[in-house]
Amino acid sequence: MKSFSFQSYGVNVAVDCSEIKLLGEVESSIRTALLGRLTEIHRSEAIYIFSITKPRGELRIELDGEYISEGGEEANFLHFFETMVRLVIAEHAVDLVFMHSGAVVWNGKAIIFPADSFSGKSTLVAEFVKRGAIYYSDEYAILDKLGQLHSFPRLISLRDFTDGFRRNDVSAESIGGNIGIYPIRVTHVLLLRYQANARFIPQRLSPGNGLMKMIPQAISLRFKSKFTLEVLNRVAKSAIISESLRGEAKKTVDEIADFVDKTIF
Amino acid sequence: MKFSQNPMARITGLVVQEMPDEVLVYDMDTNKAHCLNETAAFVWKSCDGKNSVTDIVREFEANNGGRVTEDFVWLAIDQLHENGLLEAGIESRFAGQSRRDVLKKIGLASMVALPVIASLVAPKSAMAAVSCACINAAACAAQAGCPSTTICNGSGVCAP
Repeated sequence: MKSFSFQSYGVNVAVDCSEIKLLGEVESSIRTALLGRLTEIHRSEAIYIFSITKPRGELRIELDGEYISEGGEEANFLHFFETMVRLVIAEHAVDLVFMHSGAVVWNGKAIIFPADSFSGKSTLVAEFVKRGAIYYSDEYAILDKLGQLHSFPRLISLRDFTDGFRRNDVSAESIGGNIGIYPIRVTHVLLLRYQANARFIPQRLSPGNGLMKMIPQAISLRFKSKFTLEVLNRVAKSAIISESLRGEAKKTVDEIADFVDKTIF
Repeated sequence: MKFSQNPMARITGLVVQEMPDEVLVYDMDTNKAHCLNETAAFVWKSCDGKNSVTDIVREFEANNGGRVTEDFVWLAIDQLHENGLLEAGIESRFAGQSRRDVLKKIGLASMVALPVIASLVAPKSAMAAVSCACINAAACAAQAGCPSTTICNGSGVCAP
């Protein structure tokens, strides 16, 4: 077995692989998936150990000796595997909470959109970026212990809903945007649900209710419950948390921008 | 089950966050989050295993001004018990009555906010919330929020 071992966001991970060529592809894929935010470590320092083998001619993934998945099309393997690695990092990141959320800064105000996959976060984020918002992430709102937002500016992953949800990744720069560099206080948490032709009519939530509704998207919750809730509490106390239906992205961004611009802190 | 007059708040397996007028309780055993309004939170904190319902009524009135009945406190206790936030041994005071009937009865007579507990279940697996990536259909079974939980399509997505 050959290994690639690294630390990212304070999490020590090793990937053991039975094929050296595949390990090279995996390493390259992980570096991209983590935006190069990793440093190599010695295998003995790893806490979370993935292994990739081909016991029956099909790829098999295990984490710490436990079966995760096997088989399927090799073409999709790297994408699936990098998702798994990012998930482990997000669950265990040191002194940070990874929330599944889109994140942009609009006119100096940091907006996060916690939501499930395939709820249109990336489309909304891309639309904001096209209008001049600073891009923080279409996947993770990374929050530090003060509740400040850090960027995770991976390529914006747009889906073609007419073509099997095929990914079309675009950079923020290619659609005229800039990438956020500095941590910033979250001012708005928007819990949105798509409904055709719906209007964005924000209903403000109490901090307690708002915190509760952010919980399903807090990836580290099961492993660092107390820390995660402390961080979300800080965000809930200082940000405006609203929920609403929303319609198409372009119109929604107009409505959200108007709402955010009118908010005075 | 024995009808307890001295309810006791559960402590173990919970993470508690104090908010200005609410308390957020996360139950690590059930993956459930509960948001207690000020009234429900007050009753919960008063359930120390020593206070009787009558004592809690007295404490509540002393701290919050308005007058409340024992039914009012029992409404909170009932919800706390239902949500697993009390040690076992509480029997509903309102057995056989609908929550609506109870609320109507207490709400009309009450000048203070009724106890309310809102709850939400967090996904058991982070995969359920974050991914939809797959290499085979089996990987989709645990991803309830994806377009499909049975199909891993050619793009490596749990979707038709």
